[in-house]
This record gives sequence, structure tokens and C-alpha cells, in this order.
Amino acid sequence: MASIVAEPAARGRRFGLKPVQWMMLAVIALALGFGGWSLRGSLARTVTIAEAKEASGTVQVFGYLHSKGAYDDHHNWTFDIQGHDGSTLKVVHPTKPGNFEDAISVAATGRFNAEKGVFEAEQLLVKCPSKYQEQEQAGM
Amino acid sequence: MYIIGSTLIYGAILAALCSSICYALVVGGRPRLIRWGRAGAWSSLALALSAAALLLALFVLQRYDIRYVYDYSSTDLEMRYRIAAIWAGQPGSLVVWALVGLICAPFLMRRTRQFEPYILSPLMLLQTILLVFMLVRNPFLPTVIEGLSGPITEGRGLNPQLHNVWMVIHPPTLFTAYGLLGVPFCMALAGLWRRDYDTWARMALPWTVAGWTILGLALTMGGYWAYESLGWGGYWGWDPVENSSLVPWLTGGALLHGLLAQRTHGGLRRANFFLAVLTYGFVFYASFLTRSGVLSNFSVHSFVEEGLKYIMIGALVALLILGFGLLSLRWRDVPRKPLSEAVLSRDTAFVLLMLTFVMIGVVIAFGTSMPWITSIEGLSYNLERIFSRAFDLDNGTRFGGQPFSDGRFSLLPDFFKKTTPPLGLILAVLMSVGPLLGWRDTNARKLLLSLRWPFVAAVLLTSVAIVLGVRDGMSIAYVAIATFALGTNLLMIARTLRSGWLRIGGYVAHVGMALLLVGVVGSYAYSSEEEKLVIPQAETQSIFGHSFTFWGYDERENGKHVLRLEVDKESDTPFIAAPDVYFNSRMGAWVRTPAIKRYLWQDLYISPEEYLPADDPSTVDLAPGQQAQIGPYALRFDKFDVQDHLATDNSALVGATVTITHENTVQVLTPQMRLEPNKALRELAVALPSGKKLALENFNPREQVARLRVDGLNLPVVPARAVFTVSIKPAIALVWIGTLLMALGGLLAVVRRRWESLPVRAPARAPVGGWSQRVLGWRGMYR
Repeated sequence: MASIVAEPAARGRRFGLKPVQWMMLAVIALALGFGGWSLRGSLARTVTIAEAKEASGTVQVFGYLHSKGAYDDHHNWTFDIQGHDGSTLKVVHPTKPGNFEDAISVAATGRFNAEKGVFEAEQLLVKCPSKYQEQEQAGM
Repeated sequence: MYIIGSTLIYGAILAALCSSICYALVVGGRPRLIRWGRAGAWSSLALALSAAALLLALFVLQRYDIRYVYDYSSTDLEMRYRIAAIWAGQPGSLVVWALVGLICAPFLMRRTRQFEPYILSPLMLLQTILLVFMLVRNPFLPTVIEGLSGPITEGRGLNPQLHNVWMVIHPPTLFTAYGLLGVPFCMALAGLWRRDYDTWARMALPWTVAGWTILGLALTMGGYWAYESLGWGGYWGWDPVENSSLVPWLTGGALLHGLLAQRTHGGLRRANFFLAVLTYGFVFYASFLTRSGVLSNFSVHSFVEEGLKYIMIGALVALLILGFGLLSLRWRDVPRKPLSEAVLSRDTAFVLLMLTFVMIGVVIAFGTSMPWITSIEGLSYNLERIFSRAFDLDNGTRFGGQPFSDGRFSLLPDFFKKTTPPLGLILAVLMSVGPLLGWRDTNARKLLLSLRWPFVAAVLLTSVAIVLGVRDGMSIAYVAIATFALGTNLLMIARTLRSGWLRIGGYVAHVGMALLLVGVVGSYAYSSEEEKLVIPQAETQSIFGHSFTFWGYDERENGKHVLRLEVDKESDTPFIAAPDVYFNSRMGAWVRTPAIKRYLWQDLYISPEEYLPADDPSTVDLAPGQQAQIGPYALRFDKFDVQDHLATDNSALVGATVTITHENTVQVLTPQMRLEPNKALRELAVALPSGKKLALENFNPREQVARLRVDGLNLPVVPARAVFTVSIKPAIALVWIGTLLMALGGLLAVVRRRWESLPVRAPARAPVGGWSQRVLGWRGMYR
């Protein structure tokens, strides 16, 4: 048994790597290659509202809810968020997030449409003050 | 309660720790302590069970004076959710996890013979750690509400999104899987400790299969929950929480196959040790990611930092150091065993499969960790520069030379959608051909002969898929390879059945996986766009061959409301779809549950968004002091004017004093409403300038709101509308069927491996001499 397997190994060593090892390297290269390549379009940096308005790519922006929100003419959900510096940003998202009424702040991922002057969100994360999470109990 | 509960937890921790130490001392040469080790494990189990039972009792008896019960339960909760609320928070879920490990302990005592102290010492240490986590978030703390002296009779309630049968099943399943995967980890440690590098693998196989199968089941349950009732539109969203449990499933899959190879011919020893540690490391890492709050801005599961961050990091690092440290210590001691180098061999297929599993896991783990990696102080700025250069991102300078205040990155789900499919394809290829290969080598001619019929079937089925509309390359490749794998594995089942039905588990799981892949292609890549419909009451709109008529907004029990939609498909009888959408005022949140119509080949997915009540511009709701414009009239509602106890009968007159401004004339009017017992309300309208009438239509004394109406303006009325999205999910049933088959296959494999591993009569050490010595001296092998 051992002699059967030993033979190709001896031959393989002459060429450096054995076929299996080449294949393993290919898998690793493929994984790292795809991983790196996919980073290109998928990275979303967390930015302030002012930066979001200047950015050309996809970014994540975090802000406190500034308006109650309403449907626009195309029945997209729109609302305003306000950053720490007081600047506001109009955000548009195709659907209204589930627990929007409860929200105090929103993390929106998407890109700023300079023509329309709105932030077109692909993803909204609504932050609610309680329920899922326990509130800070200090002072209670 | 606080004292009893805390005492139980402290006791369980002490007993577990004692047991762990005693077992360690047994290894150190004091065999009589084994009795204490066992006693410790049993008493820890008993104490932890009592703590869990106490917690259960507190929830069932609605003791809202206990903080944890107060936070997650309320009086209106049904019994099953009152029980499920136990694992709505951290300490409850931790106690379930720890209990699984503690329940495993007695089984291990009985079955592992000389391995007992080596396995149970680390196992009890793990349970100690989990119980300490639980103690940090002590669930028995009393509720303290400032300024409230009386008894607390009501809790804050469970998130309405969790009021679901899956809340009862999904979390305990997940923690069972986590608990079970701790066993192979401890067995690996035991194997390294004892320098017995093979016996542990045989023992660990059934535990790994069980843990892995249950983890897969838990993942799909979560997906099904998201799909069927949370209305996320799909079953997998590449959310960090989902990803973090997927990663140990992937590395666990690698471990499972590695153990199989080692069980069969003794190869892959080091790889298996490595994978056992890695898998449990990822289990721990998953709970770190989801519980420490590091991802709170990046996940829909809005987790908050709960004070466990540093202790969890500490435990994780300690576990990894223990596992990998011990492995590196023994690295040279582990005897190597060559694998076949023939390309057409199961050995090769397994090695590639395991490597691919791990690489996918690593890529997903990396992507998921991105937000918190980049949030590390100092690291983010440097990473940013690297990424900016490598991937042409906007770096800080484009925004006026200022570096970002917050250098964090997150990855869009896009990243996972791009990286996983091509790598998964490798797994699919290996799954389709691998089962037909011999461990050492394969006769290529014979192989091609047996591949004949699966190949024909795959070509046929793929053509059908193409005709049905599957067009893009990756999807066609997946359908082709998955149907091919379906054929080859069915062939293997047919062949293996001759030697006993217990042996087909693995192939059944492969068949399930193949069906799952086809289902994923259909429902994921070929799901229709979500089309939004806004339908006024009693009107009809059509999309995807279905026409939808909105008939109204119906009230169900407990203030639950549904949209009543009549759905008509030309070839089918009409049916009523009633997706929930209502405001749960106790929790202050909207609840939305989709309606799903299941056909054989596809699901019609109706996800409600909102009910917009009718809007009559002639009517206005005003509180005292508020103003509004109706047509040409400016109205200001001043105050209610109530006249009780009229002389004649029991009726009352409610009036609303309104100041009207119309064409520069100001006038104060008081439209009234007559309330009489057992009679309908009667409006007493007043005349407005230029002939229209002003009426008080309704009023709400509690909220001090009057509804005023101007008659005769004929302003257009906007009817009530239903807002919802519709999509078609083809072949989604295959996802669920595939999962069930995988679970069935896993079950068969557990039964078989358990049965095989029963008489553990292994020698204390790996056989030395004979071929294994030759192996030791042989170069040119890999792990």
C-alpha cells in the first residue's frame, strides 16, 4: 500500500509541489482573490453627514431622527436625520422599516444622489431605545 | 429569590470548577479523586438545573419583582412565550447552553473509560466559564423602580416580533448545537493531553455529527422564521448574527469530514485537532459578536453592550491559547499518516473540501468582523490608508484633507453575495464526484461509467432549468452541479443500501444539500423584485399574474389588525390573504407578518407595509388651540363647551367653540352634538358664511380632540389604502426539504456512529511500530 502512494510522491517532489498541493493553493488563492476583489464595491465607510454629501461611493451614515417621515410621490419612505453637528440629511428608502415609529436614530447605508439632494439608502438600521435591549439601569 | 438563585448559580460554578480540578488531579496521579470529579459534575448539573427550574418558575408565576422577568415578560403573554422569554435575554440563553454541556457530562462519564478525566476536566471548565457569564448578568436581581413602593404587577413584555413559535424552538436548538460542539473540542484537548491521537476522533465523530446537524437545523429555523413571520423578505440576509453561526457550521463541516477520514484510515490527525479547536473558537466568537454589542450599529438584531465584552474576549483568548498552545506543544509528537496523492481519490477530495470549507468560513468571519476590527483605536486609520490605496476608495483627503473622525468600515451584504458562490461551487463539485471515489485511488474508466447516468440526468435537469428561465452563468453552474450531485449521491445510496440502511446517512445529507442548492438558486438568484403596491379600498391591481383587491382593514383579537386582500390568479380560485400589520401600543412598535401563498414550485410572498386610513380633506382633528385650513376657511378650535343635565332628559350637549376666518371676516361658531342615552349621536351643525355648514362629527374627551367637518365643499376624498410589497420566490420549498433531508442524514449518521463507537476498547496510546513507524520516518506528506 505504502509503496503505491510513495511513487507519485517521489515524482512530485521533483517538480516542487504535488498536484493536490497545487489544488490546495488554488483554493486558497481563489478565496483570497475573491475576498479581496469583492471588497472593492462592498466597503461602506462610516461617515458624518457632511462627508456623506461629498462622498462618491457607498457609505454608512448615522444620525438622529429629525422628522417623522412620510411617503413621497413614488411611495418611497423618506425622512430626515440630524448629525451631531446639527446638519440634516434627507434619506429615501423603498420601504418603511419595521419599528420606525419607535426609532430615535438610524444608520443608513447607501449613496448620496447629488442631483436630487437626497441620500438613497440601500439598507436602514433603526435604533430603538428599549425592548430588545435593556436600558442602562444607573440611577434607578 | 435573589439569594436562593444566586446561591444556586454560585454552587453550580463551584461544583463545576471543583469537578474540573479533581479530574485534572486524577490525570496528575490521584485516581481516587475521580469520585469527586463525578460528584462535582453531577451536583453542578443538579444545581444548574435547579437554577433553570427556579427561573422557569419565576417566569411561569409572573414574579415581576425579579428584574429579568420584569424585562422580558408581561401578564398578557401566553404560557409558551412566558417560557420562551427565559432565553430572550442573555443569562437565560447562557444557562441553556451550559445545561447542554452539563447534561453531556454523565454520558461522557459512562462511555469514555480511560478518557473520562481528560475530557471532563476541560468540559467542566467550559461550563464553569458559561455559568460565570451567567452570574455576571445575574437573572435573579430584584426589580428596582424609583418612586414605586407597592408590588410590581406588570412587566415590560416580550418584543412582539418574538411572539412566534420559532422563538420557542430556535434559540434552544442553537444552544444545544453550541453545547454539543463543545464536546469534540474537549475530546481533542483530551487526545492531545493523553497523547492518544486517534481514539478521540472515533469518540468525537457522533458528537460532531450531532452538533453540526443541529446547528444546520437551527440556522434554517432562523431563516424560516425570518422568511415566514418577520417579513424580512428572505431567509438569509448575510446579517452578522446569521453569519456568526454559519462560520462554525462551515468549519464544523470540515471537522466532520476530517474525522471521517481519520476514522477510516488514520489520516489528517493534526488537521482535525486544529479544526476542533477552531470550530469551538468560532462558536465562542459567534456569541461574542452577538452579545458584546460590538456590532450594534451593523446588525438588524439590535444588540446592546451588556457588560460581557471583556470577560468574553478574555475567555475566548484563553480557550484559543489553551487549544492551539497544546496542539503546538504536541505538534511534532502527532504521528503523520500519508494520504493518497492520486487526484481521483477520496483523500484528495476530502482535503480540498475541508480547505474550502475553512476558507469560506474565514472569508465570512473576516467580513463579519470588519466593523469591530476597524473600530479598534489606531488600527482603523492605517487600514483605511491601505484600503484606500488598494481599492481606490475615497480616502479622507478627498473631503478636504481631514481624516475621518470615525474610521469604521462595514461591509455590505454584497460582499458575501460575491465571495461565497464561487467558493461554494468548489464544495458542490467535490460533493458530486467525491462520494464515488475510492479512498486511495479510483479507476478512471469505472468512474466515468458510473457517472454516465447522473451526467445525463444533470444535463436534462439543467436544460429544464434553462428553459424555465435560469440564465446567468453562476446559477446554471450551480443547477448543473447540484443536479449532478443529486444523481451521484442517489447512486451511492442505492449501492450502499445493500450493506445496511444505517450507512447512507452521509449520502442522504448530500442529497439534501443538493436540493438546498437548487432551492437557493431559485429563491435567491431568481426571486422576483419586490414590487410595491398601493391599493385604495375596493380597488384592484395586478402584478405577477395575480390580481389583488383590497377589501379593508380587519380587526382580530387583542387589537391585532390585518389587511384583507383578495388575491385572484387566472388559473386558480381566488383566496383571501391577510397579512398582519398593526401597532402594538404596549410595546410601542409595529408588528408586520407577511402572508405567504405556497404553490408547488413557488411562493407568493405578500409583505405588508402600512395601512393608510381614508383622508377626507373636509374633516380635521383638532386639539384646543390648534388651527387648520379647510377649503377657504381657516379654523381654530378654542375649547369644548359642554352642557350637562338638560332639564328635560338625560341628554347632554357637547359643543366645540371654533373661530372661523373667511375672507377677512372673523366669526366664532359653536357646532354641537347631542348625546342621548340609547340613541345615535346627533350632529347640530351651524351655518358658515357663504352657505356651507360646519359640524362637530366626533370628539375624544380623553385626548381632548374634536373632529370638525365642513359640508358642501365637495373636496376630493382620498380613500383608505393598503401598502404592501409582493414578490415571487421560486423553488423555495426545496430549501426546506433539503434541510430536512440533511437533518435526516445527520440523524442516521449519529445513530450509526454512536452504535459503532459503543465498545471503546482502544489501546491507551496510538499503535507504535509496524507501518506507523515507517510513516513517521516518511517525508513528503501533509497533515
